[in-house]
Amino acid sequence: MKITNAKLLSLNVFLLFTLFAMAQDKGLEIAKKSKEWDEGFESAQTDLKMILTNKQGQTSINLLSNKTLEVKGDGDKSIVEFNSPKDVKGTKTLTYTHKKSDDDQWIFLPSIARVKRISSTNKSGPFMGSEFAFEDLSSFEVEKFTYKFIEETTINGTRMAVVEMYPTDVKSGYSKKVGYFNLDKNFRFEKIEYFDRKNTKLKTLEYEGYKQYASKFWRADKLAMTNHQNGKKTDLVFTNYKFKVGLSDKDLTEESLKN
Amino acid sequence: MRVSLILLFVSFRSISGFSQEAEEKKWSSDFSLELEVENQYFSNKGAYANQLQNFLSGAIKPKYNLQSADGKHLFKVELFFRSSLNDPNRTHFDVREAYYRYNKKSWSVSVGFKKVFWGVTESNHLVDVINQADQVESFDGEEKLGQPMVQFNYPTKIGDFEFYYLPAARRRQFPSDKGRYRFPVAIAREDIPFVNDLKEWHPSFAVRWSKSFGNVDTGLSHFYGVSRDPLYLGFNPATGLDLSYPVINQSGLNLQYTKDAWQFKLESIYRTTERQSFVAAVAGFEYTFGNIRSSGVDLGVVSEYLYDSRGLLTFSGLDDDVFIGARIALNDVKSTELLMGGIVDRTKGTQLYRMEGSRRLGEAWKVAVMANLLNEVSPKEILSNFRTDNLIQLRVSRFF
Repeated sequence: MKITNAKLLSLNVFLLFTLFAMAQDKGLEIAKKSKEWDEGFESAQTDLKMILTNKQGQTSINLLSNKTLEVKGDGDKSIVEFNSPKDVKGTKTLTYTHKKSDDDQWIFLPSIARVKRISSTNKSGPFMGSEFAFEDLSSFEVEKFTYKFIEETTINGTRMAVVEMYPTDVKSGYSKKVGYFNLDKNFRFEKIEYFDRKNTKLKTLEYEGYKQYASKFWRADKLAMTNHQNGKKTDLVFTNYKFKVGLSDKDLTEESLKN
Repeated sequence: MRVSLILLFVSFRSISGFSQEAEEKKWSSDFSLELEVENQYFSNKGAYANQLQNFLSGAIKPKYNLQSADGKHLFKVELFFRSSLNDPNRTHFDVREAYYRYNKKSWSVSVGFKKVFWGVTESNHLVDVINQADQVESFDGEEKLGQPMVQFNYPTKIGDFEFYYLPAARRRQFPSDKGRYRFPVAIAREDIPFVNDLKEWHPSFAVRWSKSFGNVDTGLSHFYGVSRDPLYLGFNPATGLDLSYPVINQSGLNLQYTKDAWQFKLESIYRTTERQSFVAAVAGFEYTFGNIRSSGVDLGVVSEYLYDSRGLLTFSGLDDDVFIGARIALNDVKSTELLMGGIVDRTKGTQLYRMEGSRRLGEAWKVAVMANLLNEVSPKEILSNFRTDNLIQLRVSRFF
């Protein structure tokens, strides 16, 4: 009898492991599909308006513009330019995202015409005082997480896959993110919940006003980030999205920052 | 100045000439302006006659950009004007930038006044040799005068190449007898001679190669032409300080290795003139503690060693010194920042301290405070001329 119990136990453990592995595989599969649907945009640019709202409801605004170049086999290259607040106008950052190693990052300071290589390890810090951390704004790379499929659910009539995403980078500020992927619309993100290192819910990001560009790429007009712990909110509003704008490697170099 | 006005005129004419085409070709332009009020207070009486303790001034800094939609043509103008109520030499106008840049796929060329920065270290900028320092604007030489040039950029697979033709050299301005950070006899701009037949019209040439190899950024440069910082050969009882602008050859190297939160940096130069040759170097590291205890606050710690084989004849006084500094960024909505640093001479004991803080007020205002302190200045050092010049500075800026 004891043997049978042991067998049953081992079978259960085996089943559990299988289920766990299946959940991992399914989660990874969804993340991969989401990324695949976004491939082939070559290059893109957009203007951004960042609206920061504090607990008391006071707002301040940052204006930015972004250029992104798709890199085959590695993470994207991008330039962010600051237009407002006016005292930082003309400041630009250049980022080479890497799938497996740390990103390369430079900043251009217009007052002294200096391009400075900066350390990119501070991923969890806030971007310009907003509720977006640097890691929230860098391009989504499948390799930067491990996955666990939780469930398939229907929210407001939309079929969604709920997948837990565990950052592989120990420098990430999160223990996990919970991604809501739209199963009817090219696996685009509808919502992400962020959990801090103590595994407490920290923030929720909602994607609003999706539009399809170049009859393929879904982009939200607005990313709304709410911080549940400090009561602050940041909205990221996108305008003038353009795809396949003809950028090349030479448009995203240290030298190109100086123009 | 004559050159600068002509070039300014030419570039404004070019801009207005293009304005009609602007609508058809979709040019984008952009104007911005900074107005600033500054008060400088020196806590001690001056060491020399006529020196004042309080200085009030205002500055106007307009910028204009015009760019074609295809990115091929760029005009950029940045002007600077400061008016000081107390030191006439600090009242000055400068064309920081006024240039036209033509971008081709595989190269680009810029013509006009431009600012160029080379280098990686924080406490001293040895490799950076293109622009003259705006010494009356900032004592540490961080502010630069615009330099007329033809600059040719040629990025290749084996690195980026830059070639420069610099048709004229500009002299450095020093404070008047009322000002601080001056020598016993106030130096007038024209007092320091050019040591060549063509004077300021002696052309200079420069070339630089730079490349990033993953975590390693490298640069090699060579400059031939009129020295930007004066050659200092000691004190001459008849003429005061022995200063001149000789023709120099300077080779420079910069290196940076970035790994995790660490940055290791090196700059070194070798300069030869008819009367002197020397080597100088700065080497050090920077470490950043990012998002401390999830507060969003970053703390950067920097330390560098500064060497110059000229010893007591080093015009900056930084010949055998250790720099330690900290940079705190709150990363808040107001972009609050604090910088603190000290430079100590290893053998002579002279100490230089600096503290800077800045914060945005509302959307379009910024306030910046700075303190500069000198302590136990060795009488052997050139810096001993400034031994009583402890400065507290306040700047309030409005941006449009």
